[in-house]
Amino acid sequence: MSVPNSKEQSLLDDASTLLLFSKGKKRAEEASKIGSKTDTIEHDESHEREKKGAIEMAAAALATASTVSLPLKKATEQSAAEAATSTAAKEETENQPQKQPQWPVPDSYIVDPDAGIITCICDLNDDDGFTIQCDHCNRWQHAICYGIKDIGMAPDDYLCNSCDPREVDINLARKIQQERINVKTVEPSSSNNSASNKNNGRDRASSTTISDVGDSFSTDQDNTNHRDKRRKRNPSNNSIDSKNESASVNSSDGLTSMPKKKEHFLSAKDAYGAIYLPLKDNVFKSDLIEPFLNKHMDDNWVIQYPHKTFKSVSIEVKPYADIAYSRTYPGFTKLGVYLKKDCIKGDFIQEILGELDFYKNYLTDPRNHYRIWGTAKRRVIFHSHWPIYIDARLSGNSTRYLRRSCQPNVELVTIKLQDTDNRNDKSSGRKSSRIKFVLRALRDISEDEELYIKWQWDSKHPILKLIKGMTIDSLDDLERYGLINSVETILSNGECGCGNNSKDCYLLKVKRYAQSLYKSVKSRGKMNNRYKLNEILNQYNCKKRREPPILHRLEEKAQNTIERAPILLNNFYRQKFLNRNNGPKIPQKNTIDSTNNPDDIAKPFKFALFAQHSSNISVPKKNETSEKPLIITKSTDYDESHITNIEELPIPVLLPINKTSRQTANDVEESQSKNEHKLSRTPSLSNFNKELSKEAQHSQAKTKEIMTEASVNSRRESTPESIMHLSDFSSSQLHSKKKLSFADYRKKLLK
Amino acid sequence: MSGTFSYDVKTKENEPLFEFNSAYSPRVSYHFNSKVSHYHYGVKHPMKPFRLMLTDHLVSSYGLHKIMDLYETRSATRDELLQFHSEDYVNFLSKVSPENANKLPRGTLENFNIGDDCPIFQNLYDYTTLYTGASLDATRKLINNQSDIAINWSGGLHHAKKNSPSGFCYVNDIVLSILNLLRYHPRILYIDIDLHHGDGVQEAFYTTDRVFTLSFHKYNGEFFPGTGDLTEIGCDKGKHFALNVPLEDGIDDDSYINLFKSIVDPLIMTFKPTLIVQQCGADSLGHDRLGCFNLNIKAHGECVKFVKSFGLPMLVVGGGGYTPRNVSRLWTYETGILNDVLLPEDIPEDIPFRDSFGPDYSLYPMLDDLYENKNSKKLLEDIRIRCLENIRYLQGAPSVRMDAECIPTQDISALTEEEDKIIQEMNEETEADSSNRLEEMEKENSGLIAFS
Repeated sequence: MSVPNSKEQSLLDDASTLLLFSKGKKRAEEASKIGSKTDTIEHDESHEREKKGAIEMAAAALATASTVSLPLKKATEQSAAEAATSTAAKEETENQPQKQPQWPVPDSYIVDPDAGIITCICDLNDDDGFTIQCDHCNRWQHAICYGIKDIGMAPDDYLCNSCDPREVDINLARKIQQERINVKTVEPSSSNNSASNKNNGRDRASSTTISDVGDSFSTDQDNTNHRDKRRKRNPSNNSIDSKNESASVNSSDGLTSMPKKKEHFLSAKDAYGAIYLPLKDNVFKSDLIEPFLNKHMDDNWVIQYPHKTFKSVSIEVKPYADIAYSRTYPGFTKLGVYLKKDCIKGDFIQEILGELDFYKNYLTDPRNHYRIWGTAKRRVIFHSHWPIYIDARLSGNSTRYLRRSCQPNVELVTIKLQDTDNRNDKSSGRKSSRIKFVLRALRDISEDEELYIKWQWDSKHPILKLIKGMTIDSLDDLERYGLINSVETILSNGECGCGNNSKDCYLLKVKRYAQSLYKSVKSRGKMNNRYKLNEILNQYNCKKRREPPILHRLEEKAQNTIERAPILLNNFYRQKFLNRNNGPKIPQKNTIDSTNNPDDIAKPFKFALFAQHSSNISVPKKNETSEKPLIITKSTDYDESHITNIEELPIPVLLPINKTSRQTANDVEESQSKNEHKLSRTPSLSNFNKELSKEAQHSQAKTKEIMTEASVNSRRESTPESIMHLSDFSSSQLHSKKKLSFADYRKKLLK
Repeated sequence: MSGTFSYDVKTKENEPLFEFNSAYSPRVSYHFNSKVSHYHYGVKHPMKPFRLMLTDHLVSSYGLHKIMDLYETRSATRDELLQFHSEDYVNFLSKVSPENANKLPRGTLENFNIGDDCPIFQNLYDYTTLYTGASLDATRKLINNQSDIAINWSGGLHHAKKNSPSGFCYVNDIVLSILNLLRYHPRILYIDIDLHHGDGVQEAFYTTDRVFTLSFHKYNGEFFPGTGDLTEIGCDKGKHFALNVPLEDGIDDDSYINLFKSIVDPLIMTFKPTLIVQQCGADSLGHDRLGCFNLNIKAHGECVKFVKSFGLPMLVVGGGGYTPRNVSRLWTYETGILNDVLLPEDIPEDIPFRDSFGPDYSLYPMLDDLYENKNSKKLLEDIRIRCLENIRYLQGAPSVRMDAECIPTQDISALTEEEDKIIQEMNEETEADSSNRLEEMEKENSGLIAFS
């Protein structure tokens, strides 16, 4: 592996600090333990290991290799790191008897193995991401200063120049380090980013054991890998993978001796830092975002920032509640963002980083549950002026842990950094990177106070009415249940920053109201509130009209047509009769006009055509005032809930329309009314079914009933007119025909 | 909205993009062939296909069949099984019977892992093709957009391997279904809430990034099938596209739901599946004959409800479940959930086998009082974080080429030649007399017919 370039290096820096963040606490605790324990325990282990021999070693190597190839498994690697340090310690104990008197340095020079103090020949004591620890004094040195270019070159036993004076090119080392620092400062976004922010106040001096390096390499290269995917679009996956592998193989040097532990996790709090991708700059999900920002960066409300770089107030992420306190497993992190320094109203606190995308994309994606939430999910912030949202769910900086509250103390503002005079780094810095989204204090905030941002409710969200001062009772049902559903969903994914006892929190008000509703739900056994809520909402949903499935819709459609058809027909003939009485020589145009009575307005064209067509046929008219045909057999009356065997369940079948001789319109009407009378006279449903089944073999389904009726009609009266007035029905038949499955056809075949 | 009635451009532009509080009402279809419940694994065998009949009775006695599209499905064909299973194995399945089992060459049964778990019973092949056929029919309806949520409670046999049966499963209908769905859908998420690890499905899609397999199950290294550790995350191209959530005995409702939601939500956001296959094994309920969790019916249903709330098309299949009365309760309840319907607590009076549901005759019996919860909060939190770490590595959905060549347009209907012929004949019959007039009609009314 070559010397990591500047970018990778800074990434490395991130990762190692990140790692430190996750370990910092443990390290302090275990520092003393390891020092004392390792001497005794590891000695035994080493004996055992030697016994088990090479096969065991290979197996362990395999195991560790597999764990390392999963870069996230830091836990094991952390323990591996411990093991590595302890092996070092073990060697130390082995070596000590002979070497102890020869050490050129006093015992006071030896530091705690986990202190992470860097003391290098180059006189620069900052972490470059690849350091090596002296076996004697436990101080760290830049590997590169000692000519160790990668992990593969790292010796198993290593002593620093102080403990083992030898010829080392100090000048070259200084030169290398100086170059590195220069590169760093030139880089627009230096190491002072999210990871280090989080790390503020902690021991800044990063330390990496050899295995740690491997660890950070593997994680890091995955990071770069993903980054490359995003930014460059053509990552050299292979090379990265191979690097990754080499890193893990090398690091396994220190790991081989470690037996695989099955259940060893990072502590929950420690691991928070590891579950998102730390960003240095905003990522654009859509390629239109950058032009958008460039275009709008001079909008009125964009605050001009008088400096070239953004100066942030440091913040800290820590749990706002004791995790052990709550009885049940909450399923979400109880972390908040805390201010580390007093700040006054209007101060810019910290930049918010994340993936930028257009607001519309968030709303239209049903996965975001906007339909239910009516607000952004956790870690998503809508921009208040631009149609943009910042998504920090997968990547971002520590501000992603910001909570929302009804009483916010920070807000999101957009600032524009001063133009950099230096055009040299134009290539690296995008124009739009001058735009920053930062948190601004809404009031004076004191140290160690948690920061909250406001909820961003949908303009139709009923909670806005609540905020205006209405009570929940005064909302109508739709809004009330929508509100309860929304708030319960939100609260099951996180908490409002107002706390659990606030009287002013609107979410809690809704929650309390819902709890009073729960009491109204009676249940036999023990029942979780969650299910009670579902019960309440479901009960409401059942009242609401739902979109029925295909069969129902077809049925209704058919029914409507059939119910309407005789009425329309009647009207039509009445109209026509009147026309005939008034004057037989009325031109066709008028007949068309005459159909424009209120009933026909619904279907003007079709029935105009119909009228036109039928007026051409001279029809003798009798019994125009015949009683209105009745349809008694409403399909919805038919109940089939007594059928318990699915085989008996009816299946809709398309019935063939037989060709019959032309009939006069009069006959049509007569036959139709006859037909319907006949149907209405059927004493019971089953008889009715039987009767129908003589004509059409399957006739149980509701839909089919209608279809058979229709087909009976059409069979009897299949004049063009009747087809015409049933045309939309027949089209629906045609439509349904396409949807019949094979099973239906087979059934039909069997008849 | 009909074709003759449409808004002008400006109105359309100002339409709300996505309305808060708007309802999602999917079309639900129910795929079942009642014959599948007529088979018997043998005395003392915990798997009882009878539970499917019980479920079906309960579903229809609640009247749920009135609000779904019902399909009686055909058997899967041999060719369809061969999409995943090896020819040897399918041949073996189709020929073997209790009578000739002893006459097979020595070692054949052992070779195909036939034993106590997976016995040879009468008409074994018919059984496997029936439940597979139902799943495949469901996928076809999903692909044709005839349905948004397709349910097949007889499917979901997730252990079956390419070459051998495993854990009461002979043919892996889930893999076959997903393979079928992959012809149309670029990315599919498979969620398995069976008590057992969904090893067959995970194994089948271990190296692909188009199918993400997520399984919640009991795991201690020994519990059947012995796989499903957190470290199994897929390999090769499919690395990070498998996720396992190993749990200890006796997990309770709230922990399970919270864990489920906190993993599935970011996963769906990141992976962006176009379809979700949900396996609803009922053995994760409390009081299951082979179970060790403490879940109530409603908690199990809550998970399904949560997945449904994403508004994606779903294929819902059954799976394990060895206390038939609770299995049928659960699946009926979940059928109700998928239809957005609340079912009354009392089991209807007129259902056959009503005695099975005694003594409480309730749809929601208390099932969470049997085991001690051995899942500490810390363990769950650790698992959650490990899972989220894995999800982070997806970094957005993989893009899949969706060229024309990738999507077969012809045979998605999956009709056999024979069927095609029959349908053609029937179409000719019906069309011969009416087609001419209909055509004329359509010509005259073109543009008007669409009016509704």
